[in-house]
Amino acid sequence: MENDLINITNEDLEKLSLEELADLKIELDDLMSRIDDMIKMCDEIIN
Amino acid sequence: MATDIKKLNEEYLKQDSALKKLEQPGGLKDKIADFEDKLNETYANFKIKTAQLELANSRNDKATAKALQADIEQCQKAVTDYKSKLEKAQAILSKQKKLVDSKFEELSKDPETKKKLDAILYKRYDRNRKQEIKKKQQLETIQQILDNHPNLQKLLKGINNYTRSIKGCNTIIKNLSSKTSLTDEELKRLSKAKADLPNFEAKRNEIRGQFIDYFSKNHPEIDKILLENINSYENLNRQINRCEKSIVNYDKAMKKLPVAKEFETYNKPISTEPPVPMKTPLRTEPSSWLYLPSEIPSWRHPIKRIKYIINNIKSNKQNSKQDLKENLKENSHDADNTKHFKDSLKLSKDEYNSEIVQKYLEKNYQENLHNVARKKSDDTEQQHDI
Repeated sequence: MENDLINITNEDLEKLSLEELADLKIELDDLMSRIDDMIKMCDEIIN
Repeated sequence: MATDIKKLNEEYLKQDSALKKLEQPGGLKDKIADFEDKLNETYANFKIKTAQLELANSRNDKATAKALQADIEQCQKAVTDYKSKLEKAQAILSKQKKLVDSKFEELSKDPETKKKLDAILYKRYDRNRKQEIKKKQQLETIQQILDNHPNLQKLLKGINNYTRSIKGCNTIIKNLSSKTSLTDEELKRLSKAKADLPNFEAKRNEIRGQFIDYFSKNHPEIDKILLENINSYENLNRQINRCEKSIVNYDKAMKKLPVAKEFETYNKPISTEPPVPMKTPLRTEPSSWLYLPSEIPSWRHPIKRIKYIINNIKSNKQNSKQDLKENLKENSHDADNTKHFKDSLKLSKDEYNSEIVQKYLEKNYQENLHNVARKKSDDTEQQHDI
């Protein structure tokens, strides 16, 4: 999965409007939260 | 000037934005959702195996316990691998997030831009929160309807089974197709998987069609896309939990924004109360093909259901002595009465064979024997007295 991750550069961010930047932040926060939950689930199984 | 802007715009549109990369079909969001499904399935499997292991240990069944322990260890090994992938993803995403956050900080240096950004964020959070609330209400309504319709539950179980079979076929095809040389056994498995796949897909589509049809006819207010994404009861629960978490997260994020108070004066204050399910009237009238009495608790709640059955039998016992005799007859292990017992209580074959029902039947059978023995003993004593 890590191979499919996006690689956002500063150049990419420059091209974004404020609205798109806000959307990107929300999406990233959401994905991070989901990954955190999955890691917790993994810990529950491993331990 | 106008041509320059047009050119610039065209150039801009040609380049994929970071957001598009995230959201495009098969993109990162989809990959994470797939990964989540895989992990949830492993988690469910792990829970089942752990429970089975406890049971085997309590019965001192060492052979089964050993096999289950091996399965659990294999499961844990797979999850360790998942975890390391997730941690890598987390590290990369965390860097990306820092980059976006620093861009936010940079833009926020200008008070006007900051205000604008905060307002945009607030509106986005609010919009997303409302969408999640609506989604959660619809999912809870679906759950309520499912709890009252065993036939719908069976359809969902069918969807789940075929989805698993399809995944199994796809795994076999993916693993074996990449191999350079295959044994005869592997060739057989590969051709079987290839032959089974379209059949399984057709069957799942047929069942899903029936499932969606029911809602379209009886509950047209339910979003069809939501129904298409439900693969099992567990999956439905997980979606509800995810919605709940998102609502809480959006609430927190909104409250943190300095513009929150400003918006709250115009809008309703942010409620932290959990959203109530949609007030969709549950249709209990017979549908042409999907009606089962709703008073029997669903098979999803075996304990509630067995309690209902026991209470029902108890109330029957109180109602008349005749009923008592019938119940005792029904609960005997007489093969002729098995079908009658199952039908009279609307038990499925699996339910009838379940440990809890068998235990109940056994208990009643023993009680019955005990009653008969006591009656015989009383009669003998009376005869002696005479």
